[in-house]
Amino acid sequence: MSISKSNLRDILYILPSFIFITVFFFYPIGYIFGISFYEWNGISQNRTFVGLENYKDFFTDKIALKSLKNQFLWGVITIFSQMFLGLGMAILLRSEVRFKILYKVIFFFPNVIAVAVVAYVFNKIYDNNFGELNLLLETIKLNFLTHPWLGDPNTALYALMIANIWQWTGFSFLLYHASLTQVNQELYESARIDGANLFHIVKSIILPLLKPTHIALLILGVIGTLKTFDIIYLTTRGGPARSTEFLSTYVFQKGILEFKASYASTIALMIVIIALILTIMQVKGYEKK
Amino acid sequence: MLISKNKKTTIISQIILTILALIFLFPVFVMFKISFQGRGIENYYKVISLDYVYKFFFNSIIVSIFTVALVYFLSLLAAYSLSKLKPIGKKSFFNLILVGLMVPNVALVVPIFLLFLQLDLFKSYLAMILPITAGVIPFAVLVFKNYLDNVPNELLEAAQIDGAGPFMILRKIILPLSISISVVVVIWTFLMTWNDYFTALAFVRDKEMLPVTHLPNYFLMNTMGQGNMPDYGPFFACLVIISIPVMLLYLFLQKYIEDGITSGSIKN
Amino acid sequence: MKNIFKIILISLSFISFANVAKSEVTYSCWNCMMLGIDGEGNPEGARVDYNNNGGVSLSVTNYPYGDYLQALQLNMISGTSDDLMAFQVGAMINEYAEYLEDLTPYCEKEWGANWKDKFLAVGIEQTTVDGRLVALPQVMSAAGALWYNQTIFDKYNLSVPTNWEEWISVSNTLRENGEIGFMHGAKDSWVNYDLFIGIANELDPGVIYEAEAGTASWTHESLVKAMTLWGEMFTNGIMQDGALGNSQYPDTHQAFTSGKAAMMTMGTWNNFSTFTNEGLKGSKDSYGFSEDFKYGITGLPDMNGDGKHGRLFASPDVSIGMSASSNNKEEAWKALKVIIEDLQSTYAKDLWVPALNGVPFDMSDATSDFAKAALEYELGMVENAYGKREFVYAEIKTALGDALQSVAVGDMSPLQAMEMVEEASQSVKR
Repeated sequence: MSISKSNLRDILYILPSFIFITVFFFYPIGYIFGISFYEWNGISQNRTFVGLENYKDFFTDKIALKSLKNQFLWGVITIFSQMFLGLGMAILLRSEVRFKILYKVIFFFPNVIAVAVVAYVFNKIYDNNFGELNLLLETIKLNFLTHPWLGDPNTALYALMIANIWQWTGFSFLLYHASLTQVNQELYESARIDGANLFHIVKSIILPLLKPTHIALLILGVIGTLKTFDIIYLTTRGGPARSTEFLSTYVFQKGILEFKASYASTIALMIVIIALILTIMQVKGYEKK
Repeated sequence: MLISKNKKTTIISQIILTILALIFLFPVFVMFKISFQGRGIENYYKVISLDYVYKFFFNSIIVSIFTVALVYFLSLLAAYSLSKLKPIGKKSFFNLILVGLMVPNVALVVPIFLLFLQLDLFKSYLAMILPITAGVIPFAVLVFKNYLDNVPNELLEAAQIDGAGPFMILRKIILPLSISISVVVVIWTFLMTWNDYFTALAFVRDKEMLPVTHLPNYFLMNTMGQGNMPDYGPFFACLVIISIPVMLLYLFLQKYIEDGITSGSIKN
Repeated sequence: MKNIFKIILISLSFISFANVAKSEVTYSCWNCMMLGIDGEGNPEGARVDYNNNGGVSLSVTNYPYGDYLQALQLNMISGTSDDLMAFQVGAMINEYAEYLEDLTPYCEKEWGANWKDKFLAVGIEQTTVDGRLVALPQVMSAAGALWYNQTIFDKYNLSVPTNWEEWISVSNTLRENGEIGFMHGAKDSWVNYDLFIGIANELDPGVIYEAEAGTASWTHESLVKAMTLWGEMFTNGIMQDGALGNSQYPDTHQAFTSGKAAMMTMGTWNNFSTFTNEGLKGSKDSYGFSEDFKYGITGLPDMNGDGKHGRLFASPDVSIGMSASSNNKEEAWKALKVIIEDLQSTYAKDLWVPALNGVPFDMSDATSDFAKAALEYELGMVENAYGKREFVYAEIKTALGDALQSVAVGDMSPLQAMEMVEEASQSVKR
C-alpha cells in the first residue's frame, strides 16, 4: 500500500495526544527503568549499581506475590460485578419505570465522590464495635453475623471489594446506558415478532452488540485494578497481615516509607509490564472475533 | 421496546431498581450522618467560613474547565483519526496511547517534578492541567474510538462523495452524532480533575493555587503519632460540599445521553 | 485548531514568574500545631512573626503526614527544600542526614561550650547521626503508658490492673458488662511497635535495643515471650474484638476519651487532648460527648514478676533540621532557636514533655485535681524513662510490623515471627 500525503496528514490529528503521552508516560517509564538497576533511597546523591538484583528480589518476594494474588482476585470479582450490575441497571432503566432520573442520580453519585470519602465512610461502616453495618445487623437481630470486617484477613479484601463495586458500578452503568442508545430499536421489534423474550434479546442481541463497551470496561477495569491505591491505603493500609496488600500500595511503602526508591521503581515497572501484557491479550482477543 | 410495556415487568423492574437504590444510598446516608457529627450544622458553617474556601473552588473550576476542553479536543481528534482515517502506524499509535493508562502515579512523580522545575511551571495552573490531561487522554481516546467505530461509514462516504474533507466531516457529521458519548467524556474528565488530590500535592507549590480537594486538610487535627486524624464532622461536611458541583454537572448533562438524538440521525 | 491555540495562550498567561523572597524563613512540618499557630490545620500555611525575638519571620507549611513524606522527598532531590524541616528520629533522619546542616557550631555559638546540658541527653542522642547534630528535638514523647478511665472502673468496682493476670480479669469483667476493656488500634504499626517495646522492656529491659544493634538475637527468649504475650492479647480478652481493623487515631482515642473504652496504651503526647480544658473541649466537640471522666495514667502491668509496673521510653516527637543548602542559614537559626528554646513554655502549657532540661509542665489549664495528680505521676514516670521509641533500620521495622500482625492473626507462631525478624536484622548493613 502506498503512503500518500493524506496518510501523513492523518497523523497530525493524533500527534498532540501522542506528545502528551510521550512526555508524561514514556519519559517517566524510562526514568524508573533506569533507576531499577541501582540501589537508591530516593534522596541521596549516592546510588550504587546493582544490575538485576532488584528484579531477582522481586521474583522471590513473597509479599509481592501475595499482593499480586490479592489484586488478581480483586480484579476478577470487581470488574465482572460492576459490568453485570451496570448492564442490569441500564437495561432496567429502559423500561417504563418512574423516577428514572432519581435512579440515574443515585447510581452515579458514588462515582462522583472522591475515593478518599468512600474510604473514610466504609471505614466507619465496617468498624467492629461502633460501625453502622454491625449496628444494623444487631438491630435486625442478626447478631451472629456481626464481624470485624476490616480486621479479619479473611474478610478484609472482600469488604473493600464491595466498597469498590459500590463506587464504580455507576460508571459501567453510564457507558452501557450510552451504548444502548445506539442500538437500533427495530432490532428489538423484529426479535419480539420472532417470539424472543427479554432473556433471549439480552443474550443474542445486546451482549454481542455491546462488545466494544465490554472490552473497554474490561481494559479500564484491569488497569484500574492495577492502579488501585487510595481505597486500600486509607482503610487497611494493606493489612491485616498483608491480606489487602496490592502492588501499588507496596510501591508506596517501599518507596516512601522504607526509602527504597529503586526497588519501588522496579515494582512500578512490573505493574506497567503486567498491564501491558494483559491489555495486549485483551485487544487481541477482541480482534480475533 | 427492549422491555415490554406491560405492567408486570414494569413493577418488577421498579422493585429491583428500588432495592438497588436503597443499598446504594446507605453509604451516602452514613456520609451525611457523619458530617453532622459532634457540632451538627455548625460543621458546614465551619467549612464555608474557611479563609481559602472560595479561592480553592475557583482554582478547581479553572483547572477543570481547561482540562476538560484540552482533553476533549485532543482526544476527539486522535480518536477520529484512529477510527475513520488512515494514518500510518494506526495500530501502534493506539496501543502506545493506551500504555498511558498503565503507569501508576507514584512512578511519574519524580521525573515530571524535575521537568516542571526546569520549565518553571510551578506557579501556574499548567502544573495541574497538563498531568491530568495526559492522564485522561488515553481513556477518552479509547472511549471515543469505540463509539466512532460503531458509527457506520456510509454516512461519511456520502459526505466524501460530496467533496467534504476529513476535518469538515468531523465538524459537520461526527460531532453532532457524538453528543451522548461526548457527555460521558466531559463528565469523566471533569470528575477526574475535580477529585484530583495527588497531582496537586506533587506539583502545586503555591499554597494559594491548591484545588478544592485539599480543603479538608484544614480539619486534620493535631496529628499525634503518625496518623492523620480528621475532625470527622467538618471533614465530612467539607467532602459533601466538594461533591456537589460534579453532581450538578451530571444532573445538567445526563439528559443528553438520551435516546432519540442518535437513532434519529442514523435514519438520515 | 484555533481554539487550541487560544487555550494554550490563555493558560500561559497564568504563569507568573514571581519568586519567593528569601528574606523569610520557610518551615514545613506535619505537626505544626505545636507552634501555636491557628487551632485548625492550615494547608496554605501561616506566617508567624516572632517580633519579640529579633524580628524573625517564619512561613509555615503544614502537611498531613503521608503527604509530608512525599513532598519532603521531592523537595530534597530537586534542591528546593525549605530552610527548616520536621523529622522523625530513627530511619527518617538517617536517610536525610546528608542534606542537613550540622548544628553543633550554631549551638556552641548560641549557648556556649556546655550547650548539651540544656537538653535531655536522650533527645540529643537520637538526633545525632555519625557524630553530626543534624536536628534539634522540639518536644519529647514518652510511650508505654497505660491510660485508664477511673470513672468506668469505679462503676464496676475495679481497680487498674497491676499485673498480667489482673489485666486479663479486669478486661474480661468489663467485656461481660458490655464495655470495652483495653482498646488498641492494631491497624497502626507505630502503636504496635510502642506496645511491643513496652512489653519487651518490661520483661527484660534493653534486650530489644541490643537486638536492633545486632549484639543480641531477635529470638532471645524475652523477645519471644513478648511476642507470645502480644499474640495472647488478641484471644484472652484483653483487646477488643477486631482490633486489627481499628486505628489508634481516631478510633481508640475517640473510644477512650468519650468513655467507651476503659484502657489504652498511649504516651505523653496525648496529654493535651485529655488533661487540658482546651484540648478536652476539642475532643468533646468532635466526638460529641459531654461527661467529665477521670482519666489516669500508669505503666504497663507487671509482666516479669518484680512487682513494678512498666517504665516509659522516650524519643523526640518532632525534631527540626536545617537544610545544608539553605541560603538563609543565619535567619533560619534564629527561627530555630525560637522554636526550640523560647517556645518551650507554649509546649509546656500544652503538656508536651519538653526537650530541654528544667522546664516543668504548666498545669494552669489542667481540667481537675485528679488530672493534676495523674500528670504529676506521669512526670515521675518520664524522669524514670528508659530506652527509645524509634527504630533505625527500615528493614527491621517492616519485618517486625509483619511479625506482629502475623502473630496477631495466628498465621505464625511467636518463634517463627521472631526468626523472621532476626533474618531481616541480619540483612542490615551495620
